[in-house]
Amino acid sequence: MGLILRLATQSLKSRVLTTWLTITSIALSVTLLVGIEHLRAGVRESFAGTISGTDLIVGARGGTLQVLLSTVFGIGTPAGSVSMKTFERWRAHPAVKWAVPYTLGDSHRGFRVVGTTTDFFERYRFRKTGTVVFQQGRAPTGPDEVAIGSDVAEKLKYALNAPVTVTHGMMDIGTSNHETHPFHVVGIIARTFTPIDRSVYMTLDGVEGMHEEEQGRIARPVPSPSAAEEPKSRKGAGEPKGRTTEVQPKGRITELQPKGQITELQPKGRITEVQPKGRTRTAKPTSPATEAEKPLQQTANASAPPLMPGASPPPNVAAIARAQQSAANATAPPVMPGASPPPSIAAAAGAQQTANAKAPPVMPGASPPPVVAAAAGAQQAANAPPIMPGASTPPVMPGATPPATKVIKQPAPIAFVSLSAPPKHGEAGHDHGDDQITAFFVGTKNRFEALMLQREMNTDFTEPLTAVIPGVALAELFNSIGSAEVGLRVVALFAVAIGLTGMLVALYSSLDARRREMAILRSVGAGPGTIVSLLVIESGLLALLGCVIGVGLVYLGLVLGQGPIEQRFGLHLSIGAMKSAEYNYLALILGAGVLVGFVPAWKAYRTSLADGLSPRA
Amino acid sequence: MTAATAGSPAVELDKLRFAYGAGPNVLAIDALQIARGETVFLHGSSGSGKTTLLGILAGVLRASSGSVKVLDKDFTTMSSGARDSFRATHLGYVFQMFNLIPYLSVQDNILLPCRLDATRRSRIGAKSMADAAREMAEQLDIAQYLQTPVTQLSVGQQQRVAAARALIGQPEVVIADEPTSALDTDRREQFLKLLFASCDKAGATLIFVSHDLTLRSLFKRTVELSSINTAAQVRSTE
Repeated sequence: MGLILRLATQSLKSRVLTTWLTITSIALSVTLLVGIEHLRAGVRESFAGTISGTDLIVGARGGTLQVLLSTVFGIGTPAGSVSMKTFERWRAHPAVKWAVPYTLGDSHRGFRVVGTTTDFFERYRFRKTGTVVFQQGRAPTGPDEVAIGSDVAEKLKYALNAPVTVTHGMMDIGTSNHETHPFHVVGIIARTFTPIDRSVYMTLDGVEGMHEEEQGRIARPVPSPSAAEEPKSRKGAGEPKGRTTEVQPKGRITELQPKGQITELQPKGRITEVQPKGRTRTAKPTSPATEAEKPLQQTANASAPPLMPGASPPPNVAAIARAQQSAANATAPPVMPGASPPPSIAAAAGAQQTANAKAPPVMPGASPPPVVAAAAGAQQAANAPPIMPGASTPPVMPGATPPATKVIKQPAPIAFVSLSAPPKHGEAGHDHGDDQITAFFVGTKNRFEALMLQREMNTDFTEPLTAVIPGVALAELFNSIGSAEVGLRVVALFAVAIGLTGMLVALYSSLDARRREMAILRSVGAGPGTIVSLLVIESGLLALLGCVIGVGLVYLGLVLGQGPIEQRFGLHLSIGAMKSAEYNYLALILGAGVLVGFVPAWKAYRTSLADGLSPRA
Repeated sequence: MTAATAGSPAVELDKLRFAYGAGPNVLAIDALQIARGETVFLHGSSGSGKTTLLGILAGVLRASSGSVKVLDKDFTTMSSGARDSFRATHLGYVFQMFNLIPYLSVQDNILLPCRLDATRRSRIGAKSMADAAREMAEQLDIAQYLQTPVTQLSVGQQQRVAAARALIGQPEVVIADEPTSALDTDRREQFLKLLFASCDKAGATLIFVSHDLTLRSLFKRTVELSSINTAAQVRSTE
């Protein structure tokens, strides 16, 4: 065997160029395969390690992934908000060991702002045991203090005491800064390799204070923010929702109708936002129907059938339909959120995000009962075809109908009229109401109780919630992206097949030139088995070297790329030992390499038997 | 070597018949004996079945019928693996040309049989393999080329390296298949002298095959293949 190994290595060495080309092609394919596997595992680990130690994440009713992604990862927007009252109620639940409130909706120069309590820093865990550590300073405790993640500190070059102003929404352009409420940095969190690094943390008081101040500046009374002012502040924020500019002026306010029966009306499609964003106080009691009417008409183009501004007696109707951009479209008829008689109706703008363009007209019929339940279902409602919440009477409204149809065609955001929602921050994801939070994290006393508690929360009727077990939701997420992983792997395996085929070609094509060599070996007593093993060992050596070099390249890439990848994508790839999956791949490649060697070996075996000692050239 | 074995022939063919596959007989030799220590000139023109006979004597080809005994071992009853290892232990073989494995050094080419077969290795005694190779190379006047890449050797030097390889570890039989055909006349005689001296020193039987009759005078015995191979006669008379 020693001789064969020596012959094999010498033989490979003698064909340096072919040998290295073959090894290189195998190495590159191994790099691809192992690299992808490493990256895949790294992404999972990094993702899965982002949160641990938290048994449940609870947010407004929505998709489990939405809750998880919007809170922990800062991806997407939360479905809505949860009242502080509900939070407190669950916090008192016997199975709950701790619960930490979590509020989103603002940002600072592109980094999201999280309102929470100091408990958060103590309770949050990542990668099993990682805890939040302050590299400098401490957790924010006062209403004008913030703590920032390491990326924030690094990118913005912030040190302790740096002033921070917060913006609504996630865009850093715009004029809606809460300039009147400057914060300053009191703590910088050590790098965690999680989205914490890219977040700004403040107290709930800070969030509330900021918005209160702003409200004050604008127009305190809920009832009517001055239309003029508000738009300004909102505008530009980039967020579709919120910033509705128009709010009311546009007029479309339709109105309501006391008509008899139908209260409602119609909704046209897009009902847009009625009340725009939350904080807008939508309903404006003031607007007389007439006023509303005019603008309407203009905006509504000809095509738009007459809304029904039936001005109802109650001055406060307020459904403001605001087709935001849609106003522009001729076709889109203004919506007619029918305001029902009760003066207090505040049309709450529903989930903006949720409102997909496609959604057919919802008919939040404001029924006489002031409490339209519509709000509740808001989100789901968006996707659902026309819902008629509360319409007590069949929407007759002759006039109303035509518009409705039209509307349908036009994709437009839908708004729900929610009577129950407080006029303040109706906007989903941006509820900084006095007592609204986006979500809360829960630790149970006994982890087995998490499931029960989850069910209890999901089925509780007082406030619709979605409780998510982070691990389960992550598994769900991985399942959904699993097919992409499989695709990547298939591509990598093909690359390996190509590498091995290259080796086969190289070995096979060298055989003819080696017939003399085989005959010489036969003459000194080598049997055909020796010839076979010589070739198999050669291909095995090529595959082995390819694997070693390929793995080396992966680690080299990790060493060189770790920093940049971390900075660029926030993805921490550990340079650890290889996982069993990777070893399996290597074993597979080695095995395949050896098997491939049998092809030329078989031919050499046949040839050397036929040739004997006299190869026929 | 015991007296008994010394007396028995190195090669003994009896009613040998050989055909490739289902084809006609290529070889039909009723009897041939070569004594131990003999140097035999086996003459045959091309097509007379020389190469086939050598393949049979080396144990690479199996006779279709009859018996082939080399050093008292009957090849016809041995497995091909057993014949391979017998060849490794007891035979040396020199090709007409291209005798060397191009990616091995001269020394490694010489030592190939010792690396492949324990008996050949043990016969070099207490000497190291490198010393044994050097000694053999000195005998054949190629000691200065031990570390030279084989591709830089002349044909004559290559043939001497092949002879050294065939002789190292004292095989009882050396078969040379037209080893001098690629050499010019001067080199031819020089090569043969070295070969004879080395075989004599090792006590090896030499079976030298060639179509070049000018060399026959150098051998004790000449065997005319065409006269003993009846298959060839039949074919030629047709």
